[in-house]
Amino acid sequence: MISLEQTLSISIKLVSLSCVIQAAELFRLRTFLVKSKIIKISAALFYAICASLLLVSTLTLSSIFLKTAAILLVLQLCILWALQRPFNGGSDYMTINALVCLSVAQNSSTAAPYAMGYLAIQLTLSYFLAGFAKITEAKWWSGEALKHFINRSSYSVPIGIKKLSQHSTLIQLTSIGLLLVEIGFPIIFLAKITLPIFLSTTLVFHLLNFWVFGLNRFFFAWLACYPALLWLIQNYR
Amino acid sequence: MFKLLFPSWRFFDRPSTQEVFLEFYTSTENKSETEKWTEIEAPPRKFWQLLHNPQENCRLFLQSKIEELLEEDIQENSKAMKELEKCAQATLSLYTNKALTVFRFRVCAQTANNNKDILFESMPIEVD
Repeated sequence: MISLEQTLSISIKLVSLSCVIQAAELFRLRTFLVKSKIIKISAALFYAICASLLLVSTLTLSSIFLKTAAILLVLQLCILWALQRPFNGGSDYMTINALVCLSVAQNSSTAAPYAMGYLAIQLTLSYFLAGFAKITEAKWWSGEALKHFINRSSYSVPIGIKKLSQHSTLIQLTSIGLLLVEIGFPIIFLAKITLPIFLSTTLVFHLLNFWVFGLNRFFFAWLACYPALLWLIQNYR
Repeated sequence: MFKLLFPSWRFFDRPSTQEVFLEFYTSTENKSETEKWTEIEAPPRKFWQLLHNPQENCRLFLQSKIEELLEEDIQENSKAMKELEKCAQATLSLYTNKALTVFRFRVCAQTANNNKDILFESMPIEVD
């Protein structure tokens, strides 16, 4: 049984790992973003924000400080402000959500269970709503939509995956499997036994998303929310 | 802020009717006009990029910015046009090492029946 304290401690480390990865990427791109005038603030300020995010998240990850969710949240918001938009869409949304919930949970023991519960619900919704938006599309059931995203979208998909996507049965089965996992995810609240199956399947799904579409940040942003879901299911069934 | 706290989570819900991509004209080699227009190819993916993938994430960031700019009438909006040129130049320099002094770009759209439409073609742009 995972306690709320353990959940908070694991969650903040996982979200810090996500922040370290995000900050290191932005730190690497800092000169490029400034030179190409993509960011609207001074170079020095942008460097300072990226360096601070990298430093605070590294210190949190190494357990030197743990009550840092609010600081990480402010730094993440500063980055969004500098870029005038999310850098990586959904992974930014999930990271911000996790940091908001952890900021509340770290500063109020009364609100902590509600904050972590909210994070677990958001995680569940992220799969369920993504599946729900797809089920009415016949192209998702036939595999055509998945084939489209692999072959004709702006993502740089490896050639081998593009070749694999030409097998119509394989692409249709993968597509239906994906729909069932996404739409069926809330089953974990009804049958505890399905929890390890769903969580391991979604982890593989995020790894595949990285390999196929290059979406590395999603893996860590979603992983950071798993302890909240484990805690909610173990304590409120 | 509302969107940040309550995201719609509608990922990849439906394929768009046209996929927008950029082609660049940087070549001075003796090639035909069609061959001189090339798409930027990202290098093959490596597993360590799970931990560090700045170029690819930046390209996706620029791509979403370009798609948003194209929703405006770029021919009539000089500010949006300037932004588009900036994003195109940034996309090109992400994967190009050779020193460029001038380049051209065009915005293409691949339609559902695999045809390529050219939505916009730039004049030669001097690199800053």
